[in-house]
Amino acid sequence: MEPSSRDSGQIRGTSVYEGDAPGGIDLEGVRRRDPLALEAFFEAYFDRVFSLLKRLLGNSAAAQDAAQDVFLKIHRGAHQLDPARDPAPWVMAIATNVCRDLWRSGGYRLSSTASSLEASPGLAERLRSDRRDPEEEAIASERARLVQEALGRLREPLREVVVLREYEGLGYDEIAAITGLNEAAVRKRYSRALSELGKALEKAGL
Amino acid sequence: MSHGDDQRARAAERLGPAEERARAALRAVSPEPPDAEFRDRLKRDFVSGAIQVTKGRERVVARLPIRRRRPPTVAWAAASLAVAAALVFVVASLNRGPSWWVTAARGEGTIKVDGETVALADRDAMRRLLIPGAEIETAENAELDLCMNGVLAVQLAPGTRMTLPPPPGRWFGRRCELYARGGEIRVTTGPRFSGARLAIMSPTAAVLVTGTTFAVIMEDAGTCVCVFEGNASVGRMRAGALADMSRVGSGRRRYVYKDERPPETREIREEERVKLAQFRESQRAWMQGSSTD
Repeated sequence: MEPSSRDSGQIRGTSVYEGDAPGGIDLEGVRRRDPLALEAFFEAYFDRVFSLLKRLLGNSAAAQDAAQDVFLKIHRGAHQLDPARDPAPWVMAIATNVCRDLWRSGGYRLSSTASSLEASPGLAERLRSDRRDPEEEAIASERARLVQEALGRLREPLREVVVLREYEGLGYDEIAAITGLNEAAVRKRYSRALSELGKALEKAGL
Repeated sequence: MSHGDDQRARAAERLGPAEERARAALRAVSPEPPDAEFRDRLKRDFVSGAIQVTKGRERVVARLPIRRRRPPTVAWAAASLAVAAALVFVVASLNRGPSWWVTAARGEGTIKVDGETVALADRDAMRRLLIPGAEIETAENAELDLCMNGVLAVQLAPGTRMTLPPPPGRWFGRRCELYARGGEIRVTTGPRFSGARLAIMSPTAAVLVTGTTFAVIMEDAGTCVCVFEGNASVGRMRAGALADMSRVGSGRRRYVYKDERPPETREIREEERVKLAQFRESQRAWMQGSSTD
């Protein structure tokens, strides 16, 4: 397996959020809700937001609803954007808060326990297209499913930290800023999350 | 980052082998691409400003089954009611006054309790039957003294018919009523009666007392209330209501006629004074609450 960009150390030390908004988005235009600026903003952040929501909620349908909520909040709060700062932490904080709201709802809890994580045919499909060996594709697909399931079984506060750290590449201080925890608590949760995941995956034979 | 840097970073996080494996497994999973149609629609709504929360939220609510939990207030209310009911039961039990005891039975005759004839010598049967609300009728050659320790003693002369009253409560509900239908009744109250009220209802007169020794003598012409000690309020029963209430002091008697003649208050008859004094004396030990049947 090829090492990912995170393996090269990007998640540690330097933050992916440091610096200006990606792609030279016209944040002033976003503040004015200029359609072109909003389109660029959407293109820049939608995939990351959806990916985060999907991993936090473990359910595509819930992630779609949450994404709609997130972009509505962004649209409503666009005038609060600071053009001098990268909007990514703000966007990720909104997404995390929307997930927290959903987790608190009884409907989400029942749904998540009843259906677990949905099987991921899209993922399997994509993995298939990346690999030529059918056996390797099947193994990778099953592996991905087990990892997703284990992630979905993590308690939400632990899942939140591990997803922000591992998939969004955030530093502990950035996660602390988003979640409202202190850095030591974030580290502890991250460590506990990995420990629980490790046990779960070991039990699953991974 | 070099291999050495990576190792240093891992050491800084102090991850064990299982955690390392978990992290590697997480990183090996790529994100699932969103549904293209949904992405386009959301983008269009976001850019145009037509994005709305209600649509999405309603969908979430509609799709996710809602756990129907009984509101916690119901459980709390039920628990509170159960506790309150238990408390009421305990307090009511503790509030209950003493039972009736037969302190003396004179004569060779019988009494009837709720229609059941009982020999005066059969104390067990009397103890079983003499409960509050019981209808008692003494025969022409039977006399009965009943007592609630420290609270109240009642003497039923031969040929008396009355309903046994419930004891007044220890702390609340301290009012009791005795219904007399004929004959002679002598009543004396004890120290534990203090603060309670007794009402004796005869066919023609009503007597209200808060602590005294007195007799209620029901005759063909009317009812005579003789007060040996203390005070009693005596009135006429007219169509089920009290009328002509008057306070009768120690050593006085008031005669309430059945007909329209006005009630009369006079000196207590000597014969009755003696009987009441004897009754009061005979019940003294019971009124101190130290004796049992």
